[in-house]
Amino acid sequence: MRMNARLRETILIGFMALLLSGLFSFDIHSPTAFADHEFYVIVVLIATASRFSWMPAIAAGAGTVLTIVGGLGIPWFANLPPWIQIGNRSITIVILWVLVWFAWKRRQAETALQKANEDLEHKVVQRTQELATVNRTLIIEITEHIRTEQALRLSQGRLAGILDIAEDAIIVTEYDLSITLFNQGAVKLFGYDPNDVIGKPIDLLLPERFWIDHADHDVFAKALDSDRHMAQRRDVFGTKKDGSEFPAEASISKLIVGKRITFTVIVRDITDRLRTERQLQSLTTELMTAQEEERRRIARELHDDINQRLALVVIEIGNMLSDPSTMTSQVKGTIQSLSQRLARISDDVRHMAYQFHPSILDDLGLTAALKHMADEWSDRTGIKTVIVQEETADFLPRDIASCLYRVAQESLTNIMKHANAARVELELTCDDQEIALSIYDTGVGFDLKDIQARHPGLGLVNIRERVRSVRGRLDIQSELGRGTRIVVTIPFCGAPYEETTNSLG
Amino acid sequence: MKKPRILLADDHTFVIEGFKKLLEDHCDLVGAVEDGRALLEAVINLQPDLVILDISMPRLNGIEAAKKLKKQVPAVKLIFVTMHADMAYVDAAFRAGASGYLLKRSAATELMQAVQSVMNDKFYVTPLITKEVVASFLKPTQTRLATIDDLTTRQHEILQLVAEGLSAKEIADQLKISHRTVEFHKTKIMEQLHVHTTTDLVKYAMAHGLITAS
Repeated sequence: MRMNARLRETILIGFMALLLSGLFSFDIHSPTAFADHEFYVIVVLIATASRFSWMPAIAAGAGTVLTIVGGLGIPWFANLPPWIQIGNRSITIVILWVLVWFAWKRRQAETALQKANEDLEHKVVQRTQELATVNRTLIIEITEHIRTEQALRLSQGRLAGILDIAEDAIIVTEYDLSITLFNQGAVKLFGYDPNDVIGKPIDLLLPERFWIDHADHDVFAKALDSDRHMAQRRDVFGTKKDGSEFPAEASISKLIVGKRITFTVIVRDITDRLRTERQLQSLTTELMTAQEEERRRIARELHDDINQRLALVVIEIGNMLSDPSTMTSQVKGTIQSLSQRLARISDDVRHMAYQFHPSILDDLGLTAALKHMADEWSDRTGIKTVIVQEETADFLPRDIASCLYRVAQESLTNIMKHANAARVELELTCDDQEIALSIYDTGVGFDLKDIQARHPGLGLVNIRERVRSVRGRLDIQSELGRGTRIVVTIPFCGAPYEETTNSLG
Repeated sequence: MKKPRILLADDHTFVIEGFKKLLEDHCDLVGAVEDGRALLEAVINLQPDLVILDISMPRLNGIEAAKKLKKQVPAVKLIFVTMHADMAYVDAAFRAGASGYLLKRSAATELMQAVQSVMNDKFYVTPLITKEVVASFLKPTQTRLATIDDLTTRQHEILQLVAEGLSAKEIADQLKISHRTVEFHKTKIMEQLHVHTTTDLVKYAMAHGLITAS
């Protein structure tokens, strides 16, 4: 291509030189009046075809020089005035340069056009590149979007799946507590179709007494600790579509997305759990009663049956001995020793029976039994024991008496084991409604939180269960270094179990 | 001498049989019952001079039955024949109105003697437990006067507040206990300290530095 251009240029220059020299010789040999120098114009015109913008000027320059030289070189004719000759030649020169000027102008215009063209092309290329970039970005974005959408759909699907397989009822509400999501668990629990409840206030699912005052509808928000965004409530009830109520546990969480606040309420029916808890409790009570009864039965068996039979044998032996004629002194001695051994066995059996069940409680009543226990304990441990008792009502139910006796027993055992006390005070007081036993020791005391957080001693668990079984109230007051007071209050007609603990004031 | 009319009360028939053999030659056995409630009825119906009874009996135990009997038929004499050698039982038996107390294992040799003593308006306690009975008399806490140290923390509080001139109701409010409980404690304190009036109680509190006369 390049070679071609150069070749073309060379041919052009050669042709121009040839033409110039031809024209020149023609000029100087032709008659003066014949203005053949005008033909230099052709050379200039040809020069415009050159690549170089200066080529027409070179051609014009050469034409000018040749015109002048031609004018000087040719023989002057007398018949023509010189000014014609000069005028002709001047016109030629002017025409030549005018042509150059035009050529230059055109060339300039061409260059400008070309430049503009180039600029445009450049711009187009640039724009195309930009567009390509944008396009690429767009494609990436779209791909990303599609992928995100798929992920979202998947995650939504998963969420929906989770929501649907969740056993718990999951309900999402707007800030105004209108329901926006109602999962399968909720459908199962409440009996409503999602379409029945979406957009309705959550009150629909609550018994009337729990209806949320809508003038104060941020009650949910208030219920939530602003730090935790979570609230748990156990003492709530739900209402099913058929109007029946059920005890529930609800955890409410607040979700803030941008300026929008939603609540997620997870409701769990705790009917079964409560029933199980109650069953467990009544089972414990039954178990303790059964245990007490069984011990009582074994004790009675030992004491009243075996021991009475032994006693009878002793009586009969005695009877035999009282008639001296029936035996020799040797036999008498043997029988006496047998009788004594039997008496000892009888004592042992009685002691064993007492271990199982203190018959004193049935025979002499609670106050005598407590006094007996306290005296015996004091003798054994050397700890001063002060006991003040109010004569109890004529008929103290056996389970209450048993409970108080066992609580006192457990407490004294605990005091002996752990308290390092110098003094113990037992007080039994009663009125028409309730009977109260207070056991106070001046020992080392304990940290209530500590004992509750860690495993409480079996003694304390026993006490708690026993008191619960007779629907009593247990109050434990203790402080390190300031002793311990345990107060058990049992109403004569049952009220629910209660327990409090606090530091000694 | 007229044979004493005797009623037997024990829920073990073989024990009753044993007693019958021991007594039948010298006494008039009017009947035998097996629980406390039956005993109450039988005493009213049969009017015995003497009842020989056990403590551990179903429906109503011997101690409770004895208390009721002594109220309804004060003249009837009671002898407990039981397995219990414990002082608490002995104490409860005599407080319930018993005239005699023996243990089953010594009944064969002692029962007749006990019946005779009791019918002569005397008391009978089996020699098997006389040692414990005497020991219980000698026990220091039983004999000496209660001191301020024998009061419980609660009694202490109540004594102080009484001495400061508060009424039972005011004390009850302050200590968050029932009015009745305050009254009980006050009575008990006076009993324990052997004082008979509130004035004496205040004097006692002052003497022991619980309050100062001002």
